Amino acid sequence: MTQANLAYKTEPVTAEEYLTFERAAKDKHEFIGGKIVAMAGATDRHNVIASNVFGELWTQLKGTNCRAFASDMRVNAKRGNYFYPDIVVTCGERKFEDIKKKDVLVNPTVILEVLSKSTKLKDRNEKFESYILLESLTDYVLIEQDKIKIEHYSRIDEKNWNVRIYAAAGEEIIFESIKCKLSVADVYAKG
Amino acid sequence: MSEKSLSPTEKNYGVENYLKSERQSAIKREFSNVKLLANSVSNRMNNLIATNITIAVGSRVQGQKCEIYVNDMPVKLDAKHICYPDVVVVSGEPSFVDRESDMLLNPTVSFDIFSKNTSFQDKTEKLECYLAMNSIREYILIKEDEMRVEHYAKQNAKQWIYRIYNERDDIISIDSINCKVSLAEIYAQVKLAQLEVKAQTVA
Repeated sequence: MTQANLAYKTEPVTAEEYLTFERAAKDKHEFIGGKIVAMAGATDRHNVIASNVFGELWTQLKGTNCRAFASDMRVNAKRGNYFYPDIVVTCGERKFEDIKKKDVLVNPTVILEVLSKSTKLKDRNEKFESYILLESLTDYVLIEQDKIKIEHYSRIDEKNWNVRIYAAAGEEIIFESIKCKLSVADVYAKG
Repeated sequence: MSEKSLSPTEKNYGVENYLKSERQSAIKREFSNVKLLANSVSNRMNNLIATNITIAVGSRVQGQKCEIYVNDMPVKLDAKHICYPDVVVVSGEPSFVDRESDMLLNPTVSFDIFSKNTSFQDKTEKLECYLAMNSIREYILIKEDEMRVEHYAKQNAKQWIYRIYNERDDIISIDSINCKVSLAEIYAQVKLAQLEVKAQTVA
């Protein structure tokens, strides 16, 4: 069985096999519940929103000890899963699973996902379950693509989170841990 | 209550087969343009969990004006969705769609038990409905096959507190009905990956 076939295997593979495969792969795949899952191509709407958010955060974080990354940062998300969040913000020293390869982040601070029809269930279920266990994570944001609706989970302590729902363009999302603000209007600004 | 996770087309037909009581079937016929959001197939473990919750909550809300329904009470989530919570509590006077249908409009606390067979689609839609619903104050999601409970407690129309519990000594504070329940109680006698939780009461 060649490496290329792993993406289509229905049996579970190990994390090692996934990483070996993924490092050689041209396209991106996530690792969910022991299975390699190819990432669906993003729609235009998805890309516009993701880049709006990335651009805003990146700009506000310039000169601080936090940094935003868009979709290429592989994250070890607990429960044995590996994902590529649409936007991830890290603060301070970035810690990696493999200190030589430095290609799997273990300490994200903020994660934002733009929900699309194909990713919505994963984002709300498997990804949510995994991300929420990351000790370093202070904020997890789910952004609906097809209507103005944003769900913002911000950590209170180890097991408690604040959940705030934004549904109007005039509202503003505040990220305490990274001292950033995101206006809902900016998130959905048309490209 | 409870039905298998079927595809949407299968479900519309298959639901008839799973709604055992006449009343449930009548409701389904009456509200045929409404989507029924299901949990998963009824089995020993999720029944046990529902019983454990009912006993724990029931024994603590005695004296309060509270009604508890188990499995068989349909709840109208919104214009397009109904569901059958595994356990649902109404604090104060319950209100129904009409005198015949006994479809609840104002749940206070709703408990749903999920397994890996639960459709993510239904689970997600249901959560979204509850988060948008007026009367509901707390929504509690219980995983059947591992010790994991999620708790959404409404603060106001746009804000909730989300809590996650995964240790047997963890205590869920269901403030809207003045009641505390431990995970040990919820999972009493439930087989979770070869580990059986012995029954324990909260002091």
